[in-house]
Amino acid sequence: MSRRVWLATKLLRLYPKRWRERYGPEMTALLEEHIVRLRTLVDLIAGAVDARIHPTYRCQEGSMSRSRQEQRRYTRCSFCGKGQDQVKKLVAGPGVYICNMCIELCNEVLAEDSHLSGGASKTQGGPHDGGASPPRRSRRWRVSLRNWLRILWRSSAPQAT
Amino acid sequence: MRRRYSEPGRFSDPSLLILSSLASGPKHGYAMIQDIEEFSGTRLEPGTLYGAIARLERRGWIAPLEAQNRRRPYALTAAGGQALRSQLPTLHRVATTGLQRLGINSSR
Repeated sequence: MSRRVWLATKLLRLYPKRWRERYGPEMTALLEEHIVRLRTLVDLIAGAVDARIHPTYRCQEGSMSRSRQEQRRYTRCSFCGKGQDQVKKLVAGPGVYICNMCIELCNEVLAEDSHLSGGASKTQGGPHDGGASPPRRSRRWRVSLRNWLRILWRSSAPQAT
Repeated sequence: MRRRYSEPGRFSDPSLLILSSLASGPKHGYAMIQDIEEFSGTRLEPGTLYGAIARLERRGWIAPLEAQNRRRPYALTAAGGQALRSQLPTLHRVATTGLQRLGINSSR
């Protein structure tokens, strides 16, 4: 295998994972037969960008395991993890979903925050303290905070190559 | 035959090229590239080819067949054939009109 062909097959990693699972082997076979020029490499990069833009393949799957990808087809709330059939409404954002219950929770948190805004607003843990919040909610808050951090981490972390 | 991107005569709708290529029977990626280069002078690169293959497959105009030794042939579907049949006369009309207006005999 020439260096260019080797480089071209490495460039396939720029494609979304679902794309590679579907077309990877046949594209590799094609590249091994093809006369790989600089144009071929540029074309592959453009193709990868095109595939990533397309909604069918676009989502942060690069850093996910296979089982997570299967779960992904079934839409879940990105905050509490409840599935589409467990909630009344699931609102989609760019790569994330939020259910009606989490929206309610967010509203409550925001309301509480503005209520407490005169005092120590640095209580990052949200409604941990005080008897106003039942323990169930504080657990959910922690879960949602963790999910948020995970989403932020996923969107900021470089794609696994 | 080697052509440059800017060279006139290059026909660059990969979808139509693929559909036209598959009209003569199922082909895998490499065979499509060779066939397309032969009949149109356009040498498709793998990235462009597979971008178009994926689009056509999602539209249901072509269908993947059983892969043989990693190379997967694709076949034109009935819908794909219909799409090609409806697009080609338009293209032909455009080409004929253009040639006529340039004063070039289209039956050249």
